[in-house]
Amino acid sequence: MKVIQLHSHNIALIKKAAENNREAQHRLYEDHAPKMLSICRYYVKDIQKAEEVMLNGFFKAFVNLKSFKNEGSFEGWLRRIMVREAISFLRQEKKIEFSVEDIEVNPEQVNNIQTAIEVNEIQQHIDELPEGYKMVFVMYAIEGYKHHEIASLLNINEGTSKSQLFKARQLLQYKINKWNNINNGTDEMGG
Amino acid sequence: MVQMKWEDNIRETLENRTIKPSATSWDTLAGQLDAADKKKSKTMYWWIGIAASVVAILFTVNVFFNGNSTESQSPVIVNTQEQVDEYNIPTERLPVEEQIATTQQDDEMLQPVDKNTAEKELLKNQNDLTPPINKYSSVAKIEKEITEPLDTNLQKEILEDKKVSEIVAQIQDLKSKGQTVTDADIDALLAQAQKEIRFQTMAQGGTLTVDANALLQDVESDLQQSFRNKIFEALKNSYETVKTAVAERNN
Repeated sequence: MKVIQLHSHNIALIKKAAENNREAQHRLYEDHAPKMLSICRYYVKDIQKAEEVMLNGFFKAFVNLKSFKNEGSFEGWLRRIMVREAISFLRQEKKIEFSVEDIEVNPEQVNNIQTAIEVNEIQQHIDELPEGYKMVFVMYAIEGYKHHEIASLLNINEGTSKSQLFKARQLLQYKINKWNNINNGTDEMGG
Repeated sequence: MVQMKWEDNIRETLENRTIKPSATSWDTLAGQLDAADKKKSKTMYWWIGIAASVVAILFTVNVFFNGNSTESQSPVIVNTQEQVDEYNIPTERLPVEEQIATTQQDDEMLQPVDKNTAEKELLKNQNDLTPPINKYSSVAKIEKEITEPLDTNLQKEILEDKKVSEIVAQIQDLKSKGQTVTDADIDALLAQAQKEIRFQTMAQGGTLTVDANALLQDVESDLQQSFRNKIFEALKNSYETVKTAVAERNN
């Protein structure tokens, strides 16, 4: 019952915001901005630039809010806008390279990985990945995009997307294990 | 590719994260939205202006071309009149002048005049297609003038000759009886002859529905010029003949 009320309240709020009601827009912003900024932060290392990307995403969302038909979740619609905006920002900021070089990783180091890791450390390791690896990994492993969707959004082949993901996984596991070795003195903690 | 457990853990950890935006972020966004609204309203005024200009241009072009096209369409109007005649709809045909009058009236005025609905529709269509009704009526008048006088002109001339000879005979008869023929007598005879000719012409024409004023003007102009000249010429000849005869007898 509560869920239904919340849903209808959201619909009314979205409808008002679509009619350019600034108060309704402000409430939607307050509700969704923290989550959206976190999503933008996956892709953009600098928090100020990530916020800039998020504001651009909200601006486009509010301007085109009439095209949202309440068929899916509003948050999902907003997330897709943020991802596209982040990709667009990274394209403008610097050339996104999809590295093809092989990374030598000890297979023993990637089998049992310590997952009880703080969010800041995870973000730090993701930030250290090459741009191509990072984008494909975040889109696939965190956002849940399929390879063909990633290929379409990034203008690459599906094979490139798969290879980038494979290499991103290897490198990320290696980095996390290395971090665990330094901080905990062990790499034997199973997940 | 099967998603690994450590990836799920990373995803869950990141999904639960929220980052509070800076305090001024909403103000920045609101400023961007306000600027967009102003720009949008300006653009809307531009579009309204452009749309109004297009409508005005279309209206002007329409008026211009319609004004030119009415003259070029006038022959088509004559054809449609002929088509109506060819249908040979069995109705009581009105005289030409009345038809002209009815075509100049509105649709409401047309209805009581014509009995057949098919003809009404045809006439309505004609009205829709032909805004310049004056030209239509003038064409019809010309047709009438061409067809009717061809038959009556000959009869009129025969009548005039007959009357001339009758009047000359009457004058000579009066003179032979030794009576003086005054101008008043001649005018009286002429008026009588004109009256008779007019009546006979109208009777032979078959239609008494022709406009009286037009016919009067027509007849008067013809008679006053042709008939009077003939009378005076005949009188002059007869007078010359009598004068010569009297002079020769006296010699």
